[in-house]
Amino acid sequence: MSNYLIIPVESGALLGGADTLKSSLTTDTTAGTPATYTLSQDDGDITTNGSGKHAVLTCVIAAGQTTLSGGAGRVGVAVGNQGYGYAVGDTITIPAGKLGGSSTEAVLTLILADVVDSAPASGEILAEVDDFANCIGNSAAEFKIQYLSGYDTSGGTPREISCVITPAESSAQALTNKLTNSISKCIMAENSQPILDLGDSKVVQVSFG
Amino acid sequence: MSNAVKIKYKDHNNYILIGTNDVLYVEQASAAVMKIWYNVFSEAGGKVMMNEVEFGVNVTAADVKALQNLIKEQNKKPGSTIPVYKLIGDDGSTDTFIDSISLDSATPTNPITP
Repeated sequence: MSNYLIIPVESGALLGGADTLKSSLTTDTTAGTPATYTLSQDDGDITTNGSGKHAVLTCVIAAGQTTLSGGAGRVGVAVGNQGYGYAVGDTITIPAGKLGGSSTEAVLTLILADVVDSAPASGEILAEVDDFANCIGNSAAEFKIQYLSGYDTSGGTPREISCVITPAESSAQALTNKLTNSISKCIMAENSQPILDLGDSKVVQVSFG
Repeated sequence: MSNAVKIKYKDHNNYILIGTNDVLYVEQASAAVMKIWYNVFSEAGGKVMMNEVEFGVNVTAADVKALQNLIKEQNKKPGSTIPVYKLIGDDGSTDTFIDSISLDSATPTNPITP
């Protein structure tokens, strides 16, 4: 008897990192004010012409600069704020006034390197739990399911499925708890395959170790 | 069929799930640490899989035995329930939860059933 947990995976997350998107600026702002800005699509701080959702950009206009590309300026997205549904060629627009009162509009045009697409064609993975050892939220935005067998004897790494979610949970333990609840259902479901329930959050990156 | 137990994780409101298939035994490794050894070889030479869990407070021999007994009882009825394990002194007011967990492989240091 094999038990599986179905993990839906969304495609098109933005690549996480402090400065992953600056090179995709096709129109830079002018007259910006030096500061760090957190710009949420859900709050209307940024817009897109595509179908991407929920991204939260972190933009920095460096001291003494008026543009994002000047000096140590940055355009990035934190892991857990990457959103999903974005595609190469989509634009993300930062409207005038969002980078300081006099700032002009800035536009990002997404290239291949900006978009993470680890979703399989089926849009889901099946995580078996028969061989399960533990499950844990490494952070509010990342979790792993570890297995007893298949230990990497050369590198000493347990076999595991690692996932990044967006939006992030409130804490690592809150994410662990949701994972615990879903895998518990899975263990107790002989004739069904429960779907991982993360509420409004979605898995956007999957890796296997 | 899988088996597992739930234990409080980092606070009193959230739980972590630990697999209990193929458990060999549970031991107290240090004042606040339990090791759950599994009958699953990780490589030639006798190393086996082991979950190391560190609690926020010191544990007792009775806590260790209670966890092993819970695993034994639960393995009599696989898949029907996921029991919750609490330290014997857990009254919800102290740090009677797991602070950290790691999966590793090692050579059992005390291969004697408690």
